[in-house]
Amino acid sequence: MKDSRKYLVAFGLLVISFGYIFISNETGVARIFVNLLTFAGIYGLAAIGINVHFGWTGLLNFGHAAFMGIGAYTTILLIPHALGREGVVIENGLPLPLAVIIGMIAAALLGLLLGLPTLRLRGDYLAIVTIAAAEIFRLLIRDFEDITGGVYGVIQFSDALQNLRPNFITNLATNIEVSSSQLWVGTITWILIVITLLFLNRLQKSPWGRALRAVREDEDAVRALGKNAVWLKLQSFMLGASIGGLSGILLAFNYGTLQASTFVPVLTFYLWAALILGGVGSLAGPALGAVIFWVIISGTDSLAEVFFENANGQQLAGVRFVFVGLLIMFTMIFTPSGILGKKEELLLDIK
Amino acid sequence: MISNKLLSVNSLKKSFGGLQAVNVDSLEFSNNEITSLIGPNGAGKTTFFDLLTKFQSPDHGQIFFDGKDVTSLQSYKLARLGMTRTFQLTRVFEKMSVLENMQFSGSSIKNESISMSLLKSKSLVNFEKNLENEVDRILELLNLTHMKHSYARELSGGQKKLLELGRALIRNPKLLLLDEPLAGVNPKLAEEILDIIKKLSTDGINIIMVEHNINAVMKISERVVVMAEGKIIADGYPEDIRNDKNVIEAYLGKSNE
Amino acid sequence: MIDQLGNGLLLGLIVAIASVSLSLLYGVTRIVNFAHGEIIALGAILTLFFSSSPESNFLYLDRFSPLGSSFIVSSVASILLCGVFGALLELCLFRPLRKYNYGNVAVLVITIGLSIFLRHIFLLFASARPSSYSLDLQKREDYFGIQLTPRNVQVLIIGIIVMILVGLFLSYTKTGKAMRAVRDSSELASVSGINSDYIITLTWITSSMLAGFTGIIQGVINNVRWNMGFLILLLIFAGSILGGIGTSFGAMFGGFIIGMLVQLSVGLSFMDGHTEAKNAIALALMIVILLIRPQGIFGSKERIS
Repeated sequence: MKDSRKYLVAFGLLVISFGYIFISNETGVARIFVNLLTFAGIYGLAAIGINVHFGWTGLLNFGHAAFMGIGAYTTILLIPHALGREGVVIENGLPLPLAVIIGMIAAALLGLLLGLPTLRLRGDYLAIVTIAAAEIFRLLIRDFEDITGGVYGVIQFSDALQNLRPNFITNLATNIEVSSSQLWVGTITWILIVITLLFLNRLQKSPWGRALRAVREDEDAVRALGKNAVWLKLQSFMLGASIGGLSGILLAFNYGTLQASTFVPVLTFYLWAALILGGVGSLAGPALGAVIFWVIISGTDSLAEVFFENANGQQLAGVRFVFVGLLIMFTMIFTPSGILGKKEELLLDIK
Repeated sequence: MISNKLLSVNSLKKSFGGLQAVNVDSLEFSNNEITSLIGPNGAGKTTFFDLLTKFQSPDHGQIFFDGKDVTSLQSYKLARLGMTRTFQLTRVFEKMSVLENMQFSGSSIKNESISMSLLKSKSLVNFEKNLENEVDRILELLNLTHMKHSYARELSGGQKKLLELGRALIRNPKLLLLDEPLAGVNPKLAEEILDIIKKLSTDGINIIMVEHNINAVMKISERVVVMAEGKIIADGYPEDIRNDKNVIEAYLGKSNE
Repeated sequence: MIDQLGNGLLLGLIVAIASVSLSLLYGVTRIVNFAHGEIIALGAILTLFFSSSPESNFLYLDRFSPLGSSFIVSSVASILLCGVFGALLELCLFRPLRKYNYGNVAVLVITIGLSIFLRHIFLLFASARPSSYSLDLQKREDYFGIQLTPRNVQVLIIGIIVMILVGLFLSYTKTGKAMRAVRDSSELASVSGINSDYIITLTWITSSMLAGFTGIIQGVINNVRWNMGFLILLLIFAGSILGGIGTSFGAMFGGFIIGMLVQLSVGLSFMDGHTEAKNAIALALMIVILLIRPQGIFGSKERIS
């Protein structure tokens, strides 16, 4: 598909998706929109991180949830917070921007830890190790209750971000009847997406980006030309990981609480669905894919009602995931390049 | 043992399973010769190449390049010291343009880090500009200027071989290892490639090539090394090799089996 | 820790057989099948469905009620059905993907989607509560100092026999040798007149039947859960990596060791109250192995990078 046609299709899908939401909800449309766009934005940012791994470098990372989680926990635990309802209340902390940067660095370091043993081996190993890492992360968070606040999780940390909220956001929120804190998180998220994409665009056209594309295609040739393929992959892995960390921080602020159940491995599969749908390798694809993905997910909830009267939470989740699985399969089989991606991208072999 | 030869190997051995693929006692390459490495199929030539360029590790032995012991060096580090190789099955970056293929090969490793690339300093910009000039020069030499902005996958088989050669050249190698540069190439293009190789040698680049095309080998080589069953069985001037009994036997012996 | 020895043997056996089934599939088809866990679960769940009494209520969709057949019959039937399922996967999904030259990355992601899909179909049909087969409860008895129930011992013996049979099959039968030939080099195999497609289908059937068998054993020893396959999948990967990917014997050995280690770690004192974390140990071990000796104990270096 020519580029302009692709964008047309993307725009059309967005219009249809938003239209569907409008039609199927009489009240509270604005709230639904803000909620959807915020989650989609966060997932989109996370997916952009995976895109750096997979779309740019051909790396298979199925443990992105761990990067998101490490970023979130590191940052949130460094700012004022409280541990659970009866736990310790920490009143002093680092300024938010500093805490965010440290959180992103923590995610990058985890990327280094996982990448170092695996990036000199075949791609399947990274896939397995990252899934394992996400599982370990989940288990550790669950077990170390004294640090992570147990059942209630870490709470009372939102102020660090909400105190920075400008008045016009608060006013806008009141006018359109949405949560002002979520509107703020959503706005910040999409601003960060734009900034990240600007950075990535610059990198893509740079010598580093060029080197990465070569590595993705043929590592042996890269080595024969004197370049350290493993180090290049490692840099990309750490970059994508830190973007993941940033998105995890945003996710925590969006929920207002930080719980072990947030960063479960299945989160990673949501992200992959969004990425494949939107288009591997394209800059804006992941964000678009995330938006459309969220619309589809909201749609499946109504489908669940069709199959099960009075569907309980488990059945809802079940139906939702059945669709996620099918979505991943179908998009990978029939449109492996997604909406905005390039066709040859997915005929790639990890050697 | 420090050697002042460009490249030398010492007791180099490599086996697969029970089969000894390479068993070379000693071999040296000094400056400025075009050397051809020939031998019947299965003689171990490509494995030997892989060992020299550290794409495979030897079971035993030492390799010296430019006076340094490089036996345990990783392949990319060896390439940085000035040894560049091409591959039997052409490996160009199909999804990148000819220009980008060349740029990648010639670009400075310092610039290929995230920080430098983000900063986009003046020195980086200047380097890239000079790089492109260098690319133009080499593309002209190879008659590929008109394909500069095309994707590498659009090139014909022969043009891809030239591109691979160009990529190796832009690195200013001291030693160029060519793995079957004429394989599958039509006679006219083969002539072109041979001319380029000759010119490179005159310009001071040392060349070792694995080749099956005996005519070409005899035409431009200044030295011929013959391998059979992993060992060196002859080493000398082309005319002498042509008449060497052992060589003839090695080639004929295979077809008599 | 010693009291976990019996459990360790059992888990070791399960992971060993499962690792062989995965390794066999990977060796011949070069597919890392993330949905393999679901085939294991399928075996267990089908057996549960066939053998539970009609009054038992574990399905959400009330239209289907279990059949109440004998356990042995149910097991055999479900193993055969798993084989059929494997064949269907190959014929309807993986063969077209192969013919259309999908890269192995795309196939890998597709198997992940498949695994999510299947796993949640099981969730919808077989409930989130762990279920058990309707077999009588047995007490643990002492076998040379190891605590096992008589049924566990039967399972161990059957499992070992199956392993031996598989080994004999691969080494001595024409089909088995053909499978190994395709595994070692598919071009060479097709030149010598072996029909790759046919062999691949047979491999899917064999691997799936073995997987189903593993699931049933796990159901007998522990219980049946919708996500039992996923839980064990990581252990299988760890075992295969430890033993050496692509070697059947290595996979079995590595799988057994991982199963043993994981279960024995439950007995360590710092693990009190953290039994789930035993999986974390296996996974951490896997990362360490990749650092030190990535080709595993029996694998060869060329296969890995």
